[in-house]
Amino acid sequence: MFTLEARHIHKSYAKHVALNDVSIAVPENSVFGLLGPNGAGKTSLIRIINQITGPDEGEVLFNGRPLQPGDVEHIGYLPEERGLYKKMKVGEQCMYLAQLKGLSARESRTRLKDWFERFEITNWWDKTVEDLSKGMAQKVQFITTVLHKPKLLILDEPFSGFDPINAELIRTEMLRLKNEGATIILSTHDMGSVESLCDNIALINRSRVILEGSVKDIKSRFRTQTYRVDFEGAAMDIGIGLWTQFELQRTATDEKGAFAEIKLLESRSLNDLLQALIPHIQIHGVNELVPDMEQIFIQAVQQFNASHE
Amino acid sequence: MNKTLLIIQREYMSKVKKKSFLIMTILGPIIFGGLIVGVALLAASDTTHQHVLLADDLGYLLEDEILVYQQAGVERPRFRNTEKLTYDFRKGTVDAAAELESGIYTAVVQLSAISYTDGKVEMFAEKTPSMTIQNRVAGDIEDALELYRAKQNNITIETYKSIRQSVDINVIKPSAGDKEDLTSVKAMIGFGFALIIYFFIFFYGVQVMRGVMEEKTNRIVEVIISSVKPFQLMMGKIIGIGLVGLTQFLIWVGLTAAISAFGVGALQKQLLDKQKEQLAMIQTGGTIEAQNMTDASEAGEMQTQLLAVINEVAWVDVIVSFLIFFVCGYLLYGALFAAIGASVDNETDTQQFMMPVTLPLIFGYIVSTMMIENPESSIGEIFAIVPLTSPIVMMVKTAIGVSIGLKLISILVLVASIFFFTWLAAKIYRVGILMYGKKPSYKELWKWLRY
Repeated sequence: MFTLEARHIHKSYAKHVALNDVSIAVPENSVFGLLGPNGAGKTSLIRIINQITGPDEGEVLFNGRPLQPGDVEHIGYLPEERGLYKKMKVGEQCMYLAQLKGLSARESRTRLKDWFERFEITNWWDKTVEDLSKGMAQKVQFITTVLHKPKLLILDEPFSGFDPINAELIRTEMLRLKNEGATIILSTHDMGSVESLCDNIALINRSRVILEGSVKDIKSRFRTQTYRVDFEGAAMDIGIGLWTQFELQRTATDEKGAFAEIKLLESRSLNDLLQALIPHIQIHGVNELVPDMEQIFIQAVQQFNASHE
Repeated sequence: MNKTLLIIQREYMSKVKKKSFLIMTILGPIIFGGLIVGVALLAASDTTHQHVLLADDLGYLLEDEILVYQQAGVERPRFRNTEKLTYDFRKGTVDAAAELESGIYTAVVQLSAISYTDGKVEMFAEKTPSMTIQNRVAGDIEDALELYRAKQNNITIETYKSIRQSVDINVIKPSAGDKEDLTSVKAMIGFGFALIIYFFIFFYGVQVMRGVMEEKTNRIVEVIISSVKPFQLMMGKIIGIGLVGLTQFLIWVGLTAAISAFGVGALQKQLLDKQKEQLAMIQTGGTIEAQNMTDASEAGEMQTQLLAVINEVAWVDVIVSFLIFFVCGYLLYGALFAAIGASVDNETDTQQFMMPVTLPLIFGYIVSTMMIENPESSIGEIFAIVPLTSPIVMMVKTAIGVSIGLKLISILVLVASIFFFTWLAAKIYRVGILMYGKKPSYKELWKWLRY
C-alpha cells in the first residue's frame, strides 16, 4: 500500500521543463528520501504534491485515490524556504496555522500545549517571533508542521538551521511520528541522514527520476565487487598471487598498516581471492568497499549527465 | 471555520491591535475636528480692535457728502465704526510714526493727491491688521473715491449706481423645473466624497501590497498556501485590510462628527448670545450696527443657499453610491496592489509596477477636479464608466445628478472588472509569491499569466 503515488508527472514553466515523466511511489509508514542536485525539480514535485501547483500531465494518488483539495489537511509540509509572521505572537501564530489545517481552536490549544511542553518552550507562547533565535523559530515551525497529525509529512531540509542537539531532537521526533503511523518524505542534501533515516529513495536529476528503490537494494546495485585487504608482507607478492581474474587497483599504507584494493573480475568470489592470496601474504582483515549514498548520488548524477551531454 | 474567514480575521485583528492603528484612529478625528473647530474659534475670537487714522492730503474725502455715508440707515455705509474697527479722519499729511507712537491708533492710512488717480494708498502699522480689516479699509476708500470721481464728473450717485451694475449669472435648467442651478456646488460636494475614495484606495491599497510583500519576504507564504489556496489568501488579505479601513473610516466619521458638533455647538451658542445682546441694544434705543446687520444678512443668504444645495443633493443616492463605489473601487485596486506585492521582493522594485496602477487613480482625480469647473462635460461621462476611474468620477456625477441607466452601466462594468482584474491578479499572485531573487519585467508577468 502506497500513501502517495505520483504517476508520469510532467510540469513545465514557459520553456523550462521542471519535471519530465516523473513517477515515485512512497510506501505507507516509511521514510522516503527525495534526493537530487539543486534545481533538479524536487521542489516542483513537492509543490505538486502539496497542490500548490498542478501538474501539466500525470496524476497524484493519495491513499490510492486521486489527490483532492481536502487532502491538504492530512499533509504536513515544511518547506525549505520557511518563515513565520515576525510580529505575531508565537502562540497566536501556531493557533492560526493549526486552524488553517482544519483543527478546531480548542483542539489546537490542547495539542500545542503538549508540544510546547515536550519541547520545553512553554514560556515562548506570548513572545513574538522577532524575539526568537533562528533555531527557536525552526522548532516552532516544526511543531506547526506536524501538529495536525498528518498522514503524510513532507520535510524539505528539516535539519538546516539546527545545532546538532536540536537536529537530533527533530530526528527523534521524526522517528516517533513514523512509529505512530506517519509516512515521511524527506528531501535533503545531507546524505548521512538519508542513510540513517530513509527506507526508500528517489534521485531526481534534470527533471527525471534517475534512481529509485530501497536504500538496501540501491546500495547493493552499486556494489563494485571491490575489497580492501589488510595484510603483512611485500606488496610485490600480491601481484604475483593474482591472476587475470582479479584487478589490483592500488596498494597503500595507512594507520592500520598496508592494504590493497582488489576488484573481483568475471565470476570470481571472495573465496577465490583469498585462496589466491593466502600463499603469498599474511591477511589481517578483509572488508568490502561499499559505496555510501553520497558516492552513489555523485556517481549516478555524473553518469546520467555524461550520457545526456 | 471557513479558512478564508480565518485569514480575514487574522488580517483584521493583527492590524486593529497595532498601536499605529489606535493612534491614527483616535488622533485622526481629533486633528480633523480640532482643525475645524480651531479655525472657527480663531475666527470668532479675533477681538483685536483697530483704530485707524485716515489722513487725506486734499481732504476731499472728508467732505460731508461723502462722509455722510458714515451715518446709519444708508444702503451701503462707508467708514462705519464697528467693534472691530473705528475711524478717525484728518486733513493733511500726518507723521505716521508719531501718531502710532502716541498709542491711540493701531494703523494710519495716508491718502496723497496721487491716490485719487492711481488708487495707491499707504497704511502704516506696527502690527499688520488682518486681511479682513485691510480689505474693509480698502473697500471703504475705494467706494469713497468712486463717489468723489462721480461727483467730479457731475454724475449723481443714482446715475453712477445704475452704470455700475454688476452681473450675476443664474443658470436655470428648464428640464429641472426652471429651478436655479447649483450644479457646481453639488459637484464640490461630490468631489469631497471622491477625494475620500481616492485616499482610501491609495492608503489601503498600499497596505495590501505591503502585506503581501511581507508574507513573501517572510517566507511564510509557502507554509500557508500548502493549507489554503493562494486565491483564498489573497482575498482574505484584501477583504481583511478593507474591513480595517472601513472600521477606521466609520470611527473617524463618528468621532469627527461628535467633536465638530460639540465645537460648532459651542460656537453657535456664542453667536446666539451676541445676537441677543444686539437685540437688547436695539430695544434700548441704541444705534443699529448696520455693518453687522449686513454681515448677518449676507451670512444668512449664504446659509440659505447652502441649505438649498443640501436639499437639492440626493443624499440617499449619494451615500448609497458612495458605499458601492467605495467598496468596489477598493476591491478592484486591492487586487492590483496584491499582484504588485506578489511580483516583487522589496519596496524599491514596486515603483515600476505602481505607476500603471496609480496613474488611472490620479487621472480619475484630475477628471474630477475638471468636473467642478465643467460639471457636465462628456469627458466626465466617459470616465464615469471606465472602471479604473469610475469609483472617483462617478461620485462627482452622482452628486450632480446622473441617470440611473448610466450609473447601472458604470456599476456593471465596475463589478465585471473586479472579477476580471481579480482573476488576472490571482494568476500573477499565484506564481509571484513563490518567485524569489529576480526583479520581474512586464514580459515576465505576461509569462506568469499563461502558466
